[in-house]
Amino acid sequence: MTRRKLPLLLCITAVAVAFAIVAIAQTATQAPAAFATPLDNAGNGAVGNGFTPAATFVADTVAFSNEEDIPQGIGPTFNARGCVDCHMQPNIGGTSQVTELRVGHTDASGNFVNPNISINDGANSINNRSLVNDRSVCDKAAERVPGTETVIALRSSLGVLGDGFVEAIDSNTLVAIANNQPGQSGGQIAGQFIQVPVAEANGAVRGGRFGWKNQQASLLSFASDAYINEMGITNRFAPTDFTTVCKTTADPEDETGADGLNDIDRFARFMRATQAPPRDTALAATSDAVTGANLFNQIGCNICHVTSITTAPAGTVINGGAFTVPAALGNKIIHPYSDFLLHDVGTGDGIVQNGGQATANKMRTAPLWGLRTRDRLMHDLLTFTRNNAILNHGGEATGVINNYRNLSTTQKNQLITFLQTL
Amino acid sequence: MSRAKFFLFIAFVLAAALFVAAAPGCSSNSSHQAGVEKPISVSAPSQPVPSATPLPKLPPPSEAEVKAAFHRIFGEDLIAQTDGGHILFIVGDFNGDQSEDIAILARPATGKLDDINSEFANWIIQDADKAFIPNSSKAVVKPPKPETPTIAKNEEVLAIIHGFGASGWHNPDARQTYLVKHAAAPFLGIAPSLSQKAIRAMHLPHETDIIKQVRNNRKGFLFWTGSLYAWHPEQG
Repeated sequence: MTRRKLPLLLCITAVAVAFAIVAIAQTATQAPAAFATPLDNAGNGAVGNGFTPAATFVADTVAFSNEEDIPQGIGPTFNARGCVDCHMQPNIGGTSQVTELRVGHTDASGNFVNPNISINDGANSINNRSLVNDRSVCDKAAERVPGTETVIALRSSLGVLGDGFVEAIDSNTLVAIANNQPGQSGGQIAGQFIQVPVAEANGAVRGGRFGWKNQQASLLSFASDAYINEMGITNRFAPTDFTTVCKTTADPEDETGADGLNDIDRFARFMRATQAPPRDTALAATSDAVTGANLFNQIGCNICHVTSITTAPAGTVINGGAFTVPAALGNKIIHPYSDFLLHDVGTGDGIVQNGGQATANKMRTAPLWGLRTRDRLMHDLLTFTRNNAILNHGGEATGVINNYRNLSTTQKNQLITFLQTL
Repeated sequence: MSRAKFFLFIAFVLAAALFVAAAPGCSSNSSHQAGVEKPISVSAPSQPVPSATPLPKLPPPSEAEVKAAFHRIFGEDLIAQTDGGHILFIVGDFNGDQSEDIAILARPATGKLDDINSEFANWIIQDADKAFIPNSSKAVVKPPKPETPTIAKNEEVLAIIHGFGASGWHNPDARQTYLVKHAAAPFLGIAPSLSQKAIRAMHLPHETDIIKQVRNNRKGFLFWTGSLYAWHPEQG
């Protein structure tokens, strides 16, 4: 090589390296996945996805596991004393066997109406709320379902592991999935996308994705909602309890730490920093599971149980301007096996929340990641085998489930083996 | 500046510019894909939904149609029960989805029990005496211990095929099926679920047709809980 050509070669190499850096930075990468929040009151063993420093994630894991009491604001009506009570299987932030109770009735036009529930021997009532709390801090605040309420539903707790990535999905991605479904299914399947208020964005709306009815769009909104509804702890977005019967604390009850953050901020930060539920890679490598995965896609399960979604690029402003997708959550490929849309598959519970009356008998497609850790299935946890859970799908899913029925026993076994890898 | 130094300088500037452009989070224009999530011009559907309009009632089925539907679902695995040569069946909207369903008395065919009770069978086997109904008078509702019922040799069951769409159980796509134990009893007819005080008290989510039966010399009815079929004796 002549000395004259050396600078030119260096120049080309430098430019090529720079282009490679650009390409790598803009290529989506797999989201970190692990069950890495073991049940440990001190947060030992907790490993996050990089959204927060390790020590912060451990501290937030401890906050998520904390059990509240009456002086800290629990109740007057509530379902659990700590987030971990309903989100623990098989790690902190997972699922559980716990169900919540929702009730209501329909009016003469068939519209769902929230109940008014009398408490304290009729002296007080909790009005316009479908959730009925199973616990109370005193007998006078205990709720009972009135005889007028003809719609009654049980709802299981949902896992929050990996939900930071779900929050980072651009709403337009969900709309695109919905728009593709009729064409993928001969018109039988059409997921419904709804937009719901983001509490921390002064009511700006965004595509709902959390909860059985997609009633929340951001993890901070979700944390606030769960804190007031499941634990009875008032906070800056939900400053009033549903009753004052037996109430002894001042609002808002959510504690502010020395760093200026509330509990709901720590809960949201914990959820954002969790890794996605991982696959059982050993089982997934077996020929039965590989064949089952192909069958899952061939018969159309993946139309709703979407296998891969890429989150919005880092730097994208979401949640009505209240959150910017960080590098740890942006441009990440996740495998939630859900479209985060509402569907009528014949299992609807009749309850309406944020989505309007058209959503009464629709439920969000259950994400199947982490499925292998669950023994009770479907939204009410009243189905106990994988086969029965599949056969319980009707409505929009009828064509896909009939494809399943047409599989041989060996093929069904392979498909369920695949499900056991999730 | 020598020619070599000039090339190196240009290369450094280009590389630095590209690196800055690629680094996420450095500025609002850090990636040409990032930005603000675009607003979506759809609103939450808040319009009231009119009451479900019942589909037109189907004409009484012929024996051949019942046989065809039964064979479509069960093949040679089950045998439809007959009386005087006629299949014992009843039709109605048993699960309240406005699509006509059919219930047929049946029993296992010889040598088919393994297929019928297979973990991967195309029907859901359940016991009408053990269906779980949330008790609305209790604040804490505890689901029962899971169990997997099976059909015994020669055991009579009620085979219920859920309808799909306007043509109900006739529809070739209507294949959601339940084999209900302890529900194989003579039919007395169907009735609206809300005609029963006991069902009104249960506050079930759907209005359905119930199947009135006589079981062990006692009148009662089979009804859809929302996820399973349950037996209830008539009161009084």
